[in-house]
Amino acid sequence: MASEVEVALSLAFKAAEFVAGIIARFIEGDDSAEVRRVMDVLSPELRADAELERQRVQDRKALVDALGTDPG
Amino acid sequence: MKLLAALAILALLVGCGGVPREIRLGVEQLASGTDRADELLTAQIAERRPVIRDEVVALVDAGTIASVEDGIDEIERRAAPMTVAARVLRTVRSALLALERSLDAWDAGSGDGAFLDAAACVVAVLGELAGALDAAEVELPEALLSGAEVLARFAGAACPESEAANGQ
Repeated sequence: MASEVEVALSLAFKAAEFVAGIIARFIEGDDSAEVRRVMDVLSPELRADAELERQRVQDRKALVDALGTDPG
Repeated sequence: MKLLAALAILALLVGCGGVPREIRLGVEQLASGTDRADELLTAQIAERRPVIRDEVVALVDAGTIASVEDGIDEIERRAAPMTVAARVLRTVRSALLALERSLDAWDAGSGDGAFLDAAACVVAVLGELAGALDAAEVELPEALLSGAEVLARFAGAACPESEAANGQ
């Protein structure tokens, strides 16, 4: 039988995996309600970092579109 | 009843030993002000960065920029004030954590020595943050200003880390 610590660790891992997935979707430009809802409860610091990375992804996409080249 | 209320207010003002309540409140203001600064900076990045991107894509269309990497460098150059402000905000958060640890140590009976040093470091980095936010065209949150004023009254003369860096 799993100890309380093991159960807590397992839940924490699942939560971290879920949040990481949401942040990755946000960075890739996903604006769905589910993504926004989770992003809204994250720390302001984490949201600022995620927003900057999201903009960087969009910068590259826009430049690739404009130049018609593969970023590699 | 009025006497009880007056005593309660007096107790709040005086505190119960250890770290003065005014300092605790100042640090709380700084923490919430830092959160607010991050929110304002996030909004500025979300609003301003697409404008910069469009400007640089226009340069690509005009033939001034010929590669993705050059375009990214140009965007980063133009967006640098916001990136710098984000970096300075991280430094402020780190200095605030050290400050909170020093308050806990003070409460535990270690004296106020660590606090005086940590507070001087926070005051120093807050000065840097004010400049960085101004350059990024982000308003300095009121809570940061009032928290900084409180801390500046209690802080030590200079941040030991800055002095060590200047001595190198």
